[in-house]
Amino acid sequence: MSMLVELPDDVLFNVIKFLAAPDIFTTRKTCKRFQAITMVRNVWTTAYKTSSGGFFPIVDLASQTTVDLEQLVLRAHQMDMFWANPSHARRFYEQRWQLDSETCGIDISDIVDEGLYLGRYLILHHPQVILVYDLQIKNEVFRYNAPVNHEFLFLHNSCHTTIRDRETDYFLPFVVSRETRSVLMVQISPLGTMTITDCPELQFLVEHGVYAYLCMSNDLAVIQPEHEERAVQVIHLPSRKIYPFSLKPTDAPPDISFSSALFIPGGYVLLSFRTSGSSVNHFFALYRLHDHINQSAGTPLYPTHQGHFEVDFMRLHLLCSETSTTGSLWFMACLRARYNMFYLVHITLHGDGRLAFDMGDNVPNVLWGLHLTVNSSGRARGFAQGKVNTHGPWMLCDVHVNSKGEPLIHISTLNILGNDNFIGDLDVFRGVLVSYGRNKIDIRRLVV
Amino acid sequence: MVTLVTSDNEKFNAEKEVVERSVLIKNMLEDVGESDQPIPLPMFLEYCEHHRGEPLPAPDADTSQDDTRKRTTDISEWDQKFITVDQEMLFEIILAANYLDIKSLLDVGCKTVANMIKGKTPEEIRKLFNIVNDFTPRRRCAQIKKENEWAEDR
Repeated sequence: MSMLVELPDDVLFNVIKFLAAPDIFTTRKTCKRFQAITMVRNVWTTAYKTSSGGFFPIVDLASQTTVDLEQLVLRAHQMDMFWANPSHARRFYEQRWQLDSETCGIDISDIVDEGLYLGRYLILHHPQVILVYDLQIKNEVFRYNAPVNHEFLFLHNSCHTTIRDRETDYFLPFVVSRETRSVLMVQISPLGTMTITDCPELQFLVEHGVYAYLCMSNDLAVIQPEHEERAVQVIHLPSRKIYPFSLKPTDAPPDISFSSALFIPGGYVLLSFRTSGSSVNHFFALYRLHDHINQSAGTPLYPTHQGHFEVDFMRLHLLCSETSTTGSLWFMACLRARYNMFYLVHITLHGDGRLAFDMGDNVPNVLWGLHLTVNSSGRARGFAQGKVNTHGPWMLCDVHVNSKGEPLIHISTLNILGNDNFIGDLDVFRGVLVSYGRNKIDIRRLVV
Repeated sequence: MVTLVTSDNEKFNAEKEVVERSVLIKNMLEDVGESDQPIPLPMFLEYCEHHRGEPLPAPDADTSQDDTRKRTTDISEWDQKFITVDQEMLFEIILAANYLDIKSLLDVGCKTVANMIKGKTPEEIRKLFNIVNDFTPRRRCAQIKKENEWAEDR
């Protein structure tokens, strides 16, 4: 009989305390005793607190399930490894991408958007088709066609950020056509099956004919009906419950309008507003989303942190959303449409509820996309796409914050693809890169 | 001076300051007061002698300080040598340290076990610690496969 297994619980907890997340999962596989003990919540709250990684989003431990915590700790460990080991990162960027590249023959063009679900299902949206492609069996598994003479309108606008992976059922609200104006919801289950539900309770989104769906994460979508510039709402998609944001950062002028939204892992959303006209003020407010799930529909959400940023940019793209335990850093990039330039802005969250902003130099040659992850020391790394319409290559971006708090970017070109007019997206963690040209879709996948 | 007696009736003399590293013995000493009554114990004097003079952890240190501390499995050179024993003795030491409530020694033992587990496969761990795989095959697949997608990725 094994003496290890016979140790009392508190001693085993003490052993597990010194293990990193992957090793805890390994011990779970050895026998029932370890399986039981590694499922104890305490193991994961301790691992969360003692992890050397800086990748933890700020979460309220009490509101997380044990499985959530396991995922958080594991993700943190993975990011840790990624950052701790430069050669690992180099391999990640330079070699591994080359290993398994394939072109999947999906014969549709004009893809509107895509999403990744469970690291396995790729959901592609098209004006007449919604389809699910299984990356594992390399085949299309589900397809939904629009009725004759109809066209899908997806409830999304300019805030597409990245194909961040989703762990729960995948929801995609859309409208059949401008004429019928019925709102339907696609739900994709972990088995890859797709169900379509009619959602009369979301009808209000299209009553005035126009709407804007701004961004979506897991089960939540931020929605702004376009007739009401200030009415931003968050919809819990599985239950269709609607919660209004209490707008208006306290020191903002009365005439601000909504500009952009970004979901942040750990249950936060960052909203930005701008003053109308030619003014240069942009206001930001950070909201906590955890609570609202338990609240009754209609209860407004109030901002926890606020700030404003004086800069003359036209359009704003919030791009990155990794937070850290220590300084709570986010990066975003903003596009100054008039001059076609990107700027990086480093956002710091202060304990007193303030959001502070530091702007770096403009980002050369990057026009289309920028996907960054930020570590606790303020370094960020990610991919960017080259210029649209000039067959731009993928580029590797390294960002660090100097002593003044300003973000500096270093870009190196990667020898990866260059489709005609490609656009696409990337999930850095799952290693899936999707790009599509006119008639074909490239899917590249990291092989471990 | 305190006299300590093991379960097989061997007697040791030790300074009070040294053996008070064990919370259990410290409490016992407080209970018996200043009398010359002997106290039972297994072998741990060597460890306490070496760490003589180091500050004792505060009673509730493991909840406040310990949790925010970075996880580290580094063991000092002397401790490393001390704990280089066969598995049976290692677990005896761990159990004794746990019983005697000597946190630093318990941590050294647990770190050693953790280091032995690190980076191994479940099968290697079973072999190393003589653990019987008591899963039914189906359960093992269903339960574990999904949870470990990430773990395999590192």
